[in-house]
Amino acid sequence: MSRSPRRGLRATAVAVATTLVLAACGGSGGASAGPVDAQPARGGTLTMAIGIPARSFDPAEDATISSAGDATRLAAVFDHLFISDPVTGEAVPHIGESIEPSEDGRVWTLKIRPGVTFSDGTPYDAEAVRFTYQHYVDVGFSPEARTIATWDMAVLDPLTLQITTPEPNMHLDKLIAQSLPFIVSPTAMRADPEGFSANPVGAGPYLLTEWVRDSHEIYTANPDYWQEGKPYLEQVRIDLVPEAGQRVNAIASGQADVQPPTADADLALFAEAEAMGLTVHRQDQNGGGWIYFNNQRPPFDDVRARRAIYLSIDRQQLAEIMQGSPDARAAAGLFEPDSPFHEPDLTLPAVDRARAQELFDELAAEGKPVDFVFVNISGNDVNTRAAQFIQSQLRDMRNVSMRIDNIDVTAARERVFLRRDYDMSPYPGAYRYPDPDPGLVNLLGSTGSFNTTGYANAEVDAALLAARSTTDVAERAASYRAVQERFLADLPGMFTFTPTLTTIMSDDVTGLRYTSRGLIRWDEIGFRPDA
Amino acid sequence: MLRQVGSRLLRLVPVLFLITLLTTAMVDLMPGSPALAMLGDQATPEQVARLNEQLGLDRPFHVRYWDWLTAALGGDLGTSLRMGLPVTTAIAQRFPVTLEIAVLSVVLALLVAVPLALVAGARADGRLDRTATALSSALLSLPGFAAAVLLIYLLAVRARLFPVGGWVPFTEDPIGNLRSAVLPALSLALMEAAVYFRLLRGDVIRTLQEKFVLSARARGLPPGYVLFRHVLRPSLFSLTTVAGLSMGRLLGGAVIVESLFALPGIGFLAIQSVPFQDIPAIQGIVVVVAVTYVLVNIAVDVGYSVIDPRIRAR
Repeated sequence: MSRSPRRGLRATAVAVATTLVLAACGGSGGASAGPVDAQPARGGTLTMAIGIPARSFDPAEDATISSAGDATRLAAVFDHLFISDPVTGEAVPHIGESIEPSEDGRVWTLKIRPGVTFSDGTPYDAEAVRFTYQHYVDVGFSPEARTIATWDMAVLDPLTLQITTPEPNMHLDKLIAQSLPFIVSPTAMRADPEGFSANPVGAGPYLLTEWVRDSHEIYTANPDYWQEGKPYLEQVRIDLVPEAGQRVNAIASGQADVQPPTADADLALFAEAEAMGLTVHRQDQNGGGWIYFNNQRPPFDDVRARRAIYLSIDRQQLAEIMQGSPDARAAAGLFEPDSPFHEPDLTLPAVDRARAQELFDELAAEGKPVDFVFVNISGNDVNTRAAQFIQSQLRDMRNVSMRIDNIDVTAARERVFLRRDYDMSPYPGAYRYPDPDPGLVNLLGSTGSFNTTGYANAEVDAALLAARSTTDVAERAASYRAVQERFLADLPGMFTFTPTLTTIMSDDVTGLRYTSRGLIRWDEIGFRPDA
Repeated sequence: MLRQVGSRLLRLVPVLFLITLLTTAMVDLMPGSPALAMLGDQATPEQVARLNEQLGLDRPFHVRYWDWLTAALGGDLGTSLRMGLPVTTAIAQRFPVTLEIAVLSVVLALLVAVPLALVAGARADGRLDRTATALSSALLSLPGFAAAVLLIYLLAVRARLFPVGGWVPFTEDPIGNLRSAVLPALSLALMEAAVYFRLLRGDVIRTLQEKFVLSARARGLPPGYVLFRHVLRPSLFSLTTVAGLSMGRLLGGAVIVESLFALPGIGFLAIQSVPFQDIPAIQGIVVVVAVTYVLVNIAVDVGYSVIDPRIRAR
């Protein structure tokens, strides 16, 4: 049974929300952002409303690590090896005690905290980490499986794993914290490899005790959880509520307490939640709404065509239309002002329709008119609004025409990501990277796993590699400055709005902390003592 | 009657064959694949090919359909690609939810429409008739999902009388089950009630003009008795047909309402399975919906003979 939220006056709620946000932004203490203003009381059942049904509890089968899907559930059952800080992207020790590179960044030594056990009583050790990562390779679902396949892993002692990478990488810890946090019990996996995805065994704060597919799951506190005195809640219930508005209604009516932090871009919905007296917590991140240009075929294999599109569009207006709110902010550059890699003089091109028209005319005169297809993912209002706005902005310009093809998400994956049969297409959601490694490397590196634009630039590759080879912030900043300069010269894709991880919750909830992917710290969350 | 039922069931066989074949072909022609739904945006062609092989999707269409058909004839509808569960299990878990919502909404609609139509029809153009007719016009133009949004806001978010969504099984908590079923059923019942009302009202007005009704009145029988004993039964034909059809339609899953209220029913299963291109689940749903339609139609035919015994004699 969920605690019934007591909501006060709207003004009080707004004041509480503001205080919480300020508290979170003021000093997150490194581990993860979120409103942590009071230590949670013991007990109670927290109900989370989530949009995507659970598919599998085998972490190796989760290819997306989306907080709106399986990964939020996996975090409850498996906990985190390291916490990926949502602001800095740093790997913060958790079950993993330390992770250190050799001087040349090729050999990493990962140490596990002693005394941690899985819920089946077996030890959470270096062999379990090695086994899990090998399992990723065997299953072959995750994009990280390709990276792990290049590693050489050796168990040095029960609590120490050594990872050797083919290339120097001083930031492998960030990849492990962000994308490989869930470790399975090898004993349980070996005993029932087929059944593990429905009966998972991890070392997390909660145990999966009931799973009704396409409806809900119930998680009960793990009595042998490694952190004494935690978790705070007796039970967690995750209810499937596919409609975004219904999730807000569920929290407003007291049927649910929180929805997972997501990079959903509909700000109007969040404003509605605030008007209902709910707490809305936001955390800006580097990156942005992202629209691919296909750099490998006409018309966008010519940088003038890409630049002309940038110059034709008022991106601030685009951001507001995409996010449905005047509060939306266009992405100004590749990094937010509080990032050590932010360069105030390197900003994305502002609208200049006269210059854009010159470029379109120039291309047409050379026999290269900018006629293109925008492959849109239907069912995603944010993307659809973007497509329609861009089309409207280009309508009264000469020598440019845009057609919108609406297709569903899996069809888009095949056409855009696999076949690259598109001219312009939106990334479904916001592309975020608290630290540029690995996010920006995957987006702009010529072999990056998210490089769907086909952009390949030797200078960028070299700068990304140089930044990867050092931990010195000044050296990294110099390399990333080179990347930003090249990006602004080449404009391989279009950043639209500034991404924000947003959580909606009842004001009875406290201890909300999460990782860079928006995965809840289930060991921290609970109800206020006075709730 | 038995022969008629048997012949209807026999006709179901080619219908099932054709619709499952066409559904499979349509899903197969859709771009994308279940592998892409599972692997996400960063999938490589090699990963997709490997998963397609594991799922058996690399085999030709006709081979896959034939395998499915022969297994289905033995009662095995295959395994859902999305859930890894037998499709029969998945459908068996969800059908009671859809059945309960469908029955409840049709019963609610009948409970409102039948008495109202009788009274309104008996006093055609009276104040009650005009009000009820205007209200039914308004409800007819209100789709189920719009009614649902309104009901959720008023009765769940503001008044907190019912849950916003979700499902409580009857075996777990009968009261909770009823609470979770009321809003979805009511959302669907509003429009059904309006349709039923208008149909029955028209039929009642027509029946009231029949000579046997005049004769009953002339014998001095009370108006209420005449309405219920003499007018209602012969006026029920159109209503029975339409109520039967709406029951069949609702048993196929009220996709939007089930999705909005997060009800784990057949409609919700369909809406989750289609984007995933979960062909075995979609085929299973199609089979169940088709069989349900035919069975409901048979039930309607049986209903006619109950309403009018002369049909049985023919």
